[in-house]
Amino acid sequence: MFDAIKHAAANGGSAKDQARRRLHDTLIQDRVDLAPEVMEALKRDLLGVITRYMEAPEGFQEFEVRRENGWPVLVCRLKVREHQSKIASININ
Amino acid sequence: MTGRTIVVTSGKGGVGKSTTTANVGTALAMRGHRVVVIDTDIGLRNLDVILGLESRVAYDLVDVVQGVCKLHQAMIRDKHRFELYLLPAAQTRDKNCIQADQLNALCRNLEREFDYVIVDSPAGIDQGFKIAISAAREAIVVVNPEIAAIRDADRVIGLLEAAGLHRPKLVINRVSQEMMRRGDMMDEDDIVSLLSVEVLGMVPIDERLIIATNRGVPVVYDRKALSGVAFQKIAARIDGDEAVIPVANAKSGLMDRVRGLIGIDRSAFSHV
Repeated sequence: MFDAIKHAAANGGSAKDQARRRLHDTLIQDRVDLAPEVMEALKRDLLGVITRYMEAPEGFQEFEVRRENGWPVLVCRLKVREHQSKIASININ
Repeated sequence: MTGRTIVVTSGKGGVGKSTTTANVGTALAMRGHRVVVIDTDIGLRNLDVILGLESRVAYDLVDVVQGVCKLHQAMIRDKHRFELYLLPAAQTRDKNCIQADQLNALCRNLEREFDYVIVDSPAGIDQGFKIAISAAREAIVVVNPEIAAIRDADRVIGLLEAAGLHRPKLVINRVSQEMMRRGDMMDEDDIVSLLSVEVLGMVPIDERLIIATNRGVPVVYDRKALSGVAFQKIAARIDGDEAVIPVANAKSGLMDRVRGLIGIDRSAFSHV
């Protein structure tokens, strides 16, 4: 039992960081009522659509459902290539 | 001028809703306001024992809405603060005994007479919760710095927003400054980043609170209690006084410390 806790501690940083990370993911699912694999599919599909029009070599830097003025808001953020050389940033709200 | 009706809720049970209601209500009364606290947890009455008024309960909320007694017959005046009244829940009835429009009418009525009407909601998110929030114009969500309480608080915040109770405010109860320092407990920043709501204050885990509750005296009367000081500051913020968010082990002012050495607020215990 205690070994299980020690094992979790060794892999995930401080207890509060683990709690925050786990809650972060759980709250996203709770807010939009989508299973994690469905969220992953959405992420993959969205990235597929965007990369048909522009290059996004690093994928999503941010992909979450926040609460803004009472409403759940899907916030995605990814870097895209501008003129094949410079990198710009776009937000989808 | 009409009073403010504020619901205290949480989703998860046992996080300190009734303790917060009792102490914030008492602290607002200590600031000179006329306050009524309403226990809507029908069947699981507890606000009466936390305020030490259990021996005076004659009639209750259900009696009032069903016309069994007059409103003033059910309202119990506090022992220490004459500005504070309790409207207790029924203990032997269930939550179907009261309708949202009945509580709503009652609160509108009380707002004419009181500066603050504080509604202590039952745990959960079903009927009793919905009735409790329907009467309020503002909401306070009580949370503990742990996963289950925060998850439930997020759900409740969503339901409050959907019901038109915008920008609910958070009370973070049972914090351990020591555990936060070690990185073993989520801190205010963590909780704010997860829930995106304003924090009214943080209340430390405090043995003195347990002792005060055992004695039936709200801990805000105990000047040595850090939890009591935290509840005072929360009440001040609700009251529009932009006091600094209480940190669990913040150094208090010189006068506070002198009063602390003397002990407790004498007016609280002289009647006991």
